[in-house]
Amino acid sequence: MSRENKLFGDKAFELLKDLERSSQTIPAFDDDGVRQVLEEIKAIFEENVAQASSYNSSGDRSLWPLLNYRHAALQRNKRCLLAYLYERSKRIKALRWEFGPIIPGDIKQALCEPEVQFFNNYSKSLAAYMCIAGCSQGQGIDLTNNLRPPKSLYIEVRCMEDYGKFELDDGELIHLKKNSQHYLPRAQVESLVRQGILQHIA
Amino acid sequence: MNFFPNYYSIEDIFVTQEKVECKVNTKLQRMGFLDAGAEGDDLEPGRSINLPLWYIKELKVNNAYFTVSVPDIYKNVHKAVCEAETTHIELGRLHPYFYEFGRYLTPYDRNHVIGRIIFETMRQRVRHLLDISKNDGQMAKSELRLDNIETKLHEAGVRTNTQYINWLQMTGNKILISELVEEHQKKRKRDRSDDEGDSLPSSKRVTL
Amino acid sequence: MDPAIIEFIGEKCMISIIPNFSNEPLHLIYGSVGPFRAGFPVFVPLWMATHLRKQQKCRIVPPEWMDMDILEEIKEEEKRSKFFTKMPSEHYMVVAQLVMSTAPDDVPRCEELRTVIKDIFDIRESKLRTSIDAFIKGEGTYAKLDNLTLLEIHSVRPILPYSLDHIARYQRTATASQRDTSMLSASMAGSSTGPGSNSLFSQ
Repeated sequence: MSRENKLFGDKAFELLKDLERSSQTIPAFDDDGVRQVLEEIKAIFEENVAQASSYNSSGDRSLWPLLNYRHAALQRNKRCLLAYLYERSKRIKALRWEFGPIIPGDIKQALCEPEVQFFNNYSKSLAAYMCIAGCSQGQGIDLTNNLRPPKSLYIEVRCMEDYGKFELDDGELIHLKKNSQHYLPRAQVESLVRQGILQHIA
Repeated sequence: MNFFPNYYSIEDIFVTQEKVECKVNTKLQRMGFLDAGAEGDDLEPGRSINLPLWYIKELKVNNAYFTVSVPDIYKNVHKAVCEAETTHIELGRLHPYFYEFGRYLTPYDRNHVIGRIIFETMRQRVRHLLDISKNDGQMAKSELRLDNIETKLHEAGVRTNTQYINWLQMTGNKILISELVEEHQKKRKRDRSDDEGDSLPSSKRVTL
Repeated sequence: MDPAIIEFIGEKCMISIIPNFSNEPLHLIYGSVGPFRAGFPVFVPLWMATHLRKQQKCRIVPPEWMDMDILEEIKEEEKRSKFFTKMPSEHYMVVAQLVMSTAPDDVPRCEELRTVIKDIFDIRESKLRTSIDAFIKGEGTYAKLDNLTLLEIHSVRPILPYSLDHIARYQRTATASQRDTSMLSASMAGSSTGPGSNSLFSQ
């Protein structure tokens, strides 16, 4: 290992710095960075084990401070790594609330395989909970709807892109064409507004 | 904002990444790697080195290996604190994590003033924070004025104020596009226009 | 709390309307409203009043306190008093805002009222800031803020409680450091070593 790298923990810190510097949506999972940190942890651990066992047999305490330092570095690496995963999992949960159950392909690509699974499981749990939450009415409550108190049942919306056909609960088919305006039931189109397909104008 | 650092707190990890100057008290075997100017494998007594806070905070205050030198930034504001004139200090310039860094260093300060200084400084500046978050977000233009915690508080204040103003003007009732979606759309648009820029015929570029 | 939610809470206030239609009482989750008789005043929740007004089905009768003389007096009293005076309604801002924006024609001297109500709110807000400042710089450990309305309390949230949290933390740090330096270091080392850390450092 080169001299300047010897303070340890820098790579792990780098992971967090990149994550913080990125915008709110999620940057690509840094496979390589995570692997390097794990390797550093492993290397520190093996060296410490070796020295600790020689300390046990000889009782020579002179390497104690080094052992201490490296152990702190190991814990530091672990903390950074876990914080990295934890922060990402928080953002992945936010994706579910903001984008809905289906996330855009390019965002999905930024997740590693276990994270995709985590998203799917979270999505499933949330759906199951929303089913139970509205049980007495026989159907669930969509908790991602009505995030603020609704002021009216219908809203005026403008279509921002060619979305195609949209079926309302009563079976009516609406053709959502770019720049067309519609007067629609708020509850049924809120998620389209949140996803930027419609714009709430009045 | 609400800052009680836990294990996963990225803020706290950032603070503890900061380096502090320490004096080596005793010969430390095979720890020369901590000293860029070291000649041998060992760390020699009397040398001054920078150690990360994440290591220092694991040591006892009166440990036999290192003596922590408390940075001057806290001493330098002492006078202002005593005169209750801290609102004009550019805290962010002194240290991006003025308060939290100080909190970690408090036990090493033999004069017992750092703790007092960070406490009094924040106490004196809260009114100022409340005031500037009433004005529009422009005040944050000089990022150097506020430390990290203050910036977060200021952002929270500005958000409250914006919501209130929107409410007064009755413009807060619309369903908005979700923040992440908006950001993602912008990014996609940016990427697309980048691609177009690349595919511009070279002749056109010459004329530009 | 988002003002939209405070408005939602305030919309439960009862207000008098004069409907231009007749109808049986309406039985709602939290109670019955009506019966409605054209031309006769009836009390309904504010949200219903604004809804009916938008459909031209009624005229809103502004509450008694939405009156220049009364409000001018409240304003003077608010200026004079060191403490917060009691407002005529817990949701005076919400009521005023909704009534005056949906039915400006039903409110005599609407624009003047708007100004005086805004004045009252501003006086109270700057009073709030001044007393917060005095509280933080003083030695007191608690503050009593009677007669503040929900919207006013939320004008300093979350920034104030968060700031107080920080101040309290640094105060603890400061006193602990003056009391016993070594004790503090022990408690700080324990604070963020986190799950799974072992005892190598506690020696």
